[in-house]
Amino acid sequence: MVVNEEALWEHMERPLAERLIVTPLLSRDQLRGGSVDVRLGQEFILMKRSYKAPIDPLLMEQDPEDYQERVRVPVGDKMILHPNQLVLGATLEFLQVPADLMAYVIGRSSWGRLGLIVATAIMVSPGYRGSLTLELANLGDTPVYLYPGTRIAQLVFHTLTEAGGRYPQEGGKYTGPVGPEFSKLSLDQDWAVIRAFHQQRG
Amino acid sequence: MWQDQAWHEWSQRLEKALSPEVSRVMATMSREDKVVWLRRAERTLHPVAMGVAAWLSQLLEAQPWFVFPGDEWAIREESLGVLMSYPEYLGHDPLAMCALGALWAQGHAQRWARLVERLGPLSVLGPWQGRFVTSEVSRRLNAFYEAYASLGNAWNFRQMREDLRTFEPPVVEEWPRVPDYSAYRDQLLYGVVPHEVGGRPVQSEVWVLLALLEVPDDIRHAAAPLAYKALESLWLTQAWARYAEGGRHAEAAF
Repeated sequence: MVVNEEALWEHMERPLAERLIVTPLLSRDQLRGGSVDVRLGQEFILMKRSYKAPIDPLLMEQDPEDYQERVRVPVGDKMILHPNQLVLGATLEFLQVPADLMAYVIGRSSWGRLGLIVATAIMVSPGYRGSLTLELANLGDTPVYLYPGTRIAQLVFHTLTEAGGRYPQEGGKYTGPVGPEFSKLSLDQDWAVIRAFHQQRG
Repeated sequence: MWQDQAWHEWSQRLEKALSPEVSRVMATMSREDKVVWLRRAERTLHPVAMGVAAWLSQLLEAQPWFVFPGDEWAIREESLGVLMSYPEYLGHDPLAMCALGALWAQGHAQRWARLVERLGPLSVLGPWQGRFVTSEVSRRLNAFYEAYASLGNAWNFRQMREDLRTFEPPVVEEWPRVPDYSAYRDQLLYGVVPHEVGGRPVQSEVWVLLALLEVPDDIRHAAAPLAYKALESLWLTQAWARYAEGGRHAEAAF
């Protein structure tokens, strides 16, 4: 069931461990109806063409700086996104989703109509803490400027029938990121099996 | 000489990356000094160091500070601005970056008075955490220990006394009272960005940084970005409200 505005505010006032955290809320009207508007943050990971090797998920221990560059674009400045370019951004807001809620991230159609697609891992699990990494791609034919601080997506919160399905905290992870994070595909458990197949084919 | 020509070309190439303001500050330096600062300016400035420096220079009503990563704490004051460098490996930590305050104050009594008034205990805790302890910091330690005796366990005075030696003659300043900032400490220990309920930003930068001091060493590296995010959120919220208000006024006038 979608959580309404009143319930969202109520969740934001709860004790810390049960609290819905969305901070900073630069304007109160970011939370209205049953959704929260999230803004584009100031940190980006730009993908670049590596001269060394392709991205091989099987060998993700290679230096990520070979094919990515971190940049910071402060609010008030802008960054160009070229056609077919992919950058990783993050929400300006740091979130904590309490155990009894989950959220879906929905890109704003006003950006989509300009060619900008905010394709992210659509679901935010109960217990998640951190900023959300956003995969931003320009599918149009014209370059688009990105302005940190603009409303880029919406979070629609839903209640769970049973609380407690917490976000898996890998290896005693203390907290989530405050900026974009590169792919953690290499942490998938299946890679050990895929690698074994790969070695056998050899 | 061709070497001079080569030096000129090299330094010009490095200077191109500088802002015009920094170039002007460096304009009167000797060649040797300029090389040192150009080398520092070549490195990537950490956003945390940049943010804390901007906040402190505004808070202390100091002339513009231009901050660069280096191997050590250093300062060079010119009439057009102040160049400062911090140890690059500490640039991510907002509390350690508060040592910039003591670096700026140097031996000026008036600057120290302003620092203590506005930054409170961070005037001493910042340099301790940033491993920048001068005789000016050490001369204030006895009065500092006395003023904050009730916080001695929380701030680890035992370790401070092992790390820092007091220095004569002592300086006695009026150290401001510290309010209860335990909610921010609990939030950092829990692993979230310090905030007020309802998504509102923190009330004071100083309280968040004092909370960071109480975080154990094994999570300090992860807690520092959370603390800085809280500071940045406060600055953004204040600026946003100011511009939003300005925009409304402009629209009304239009």
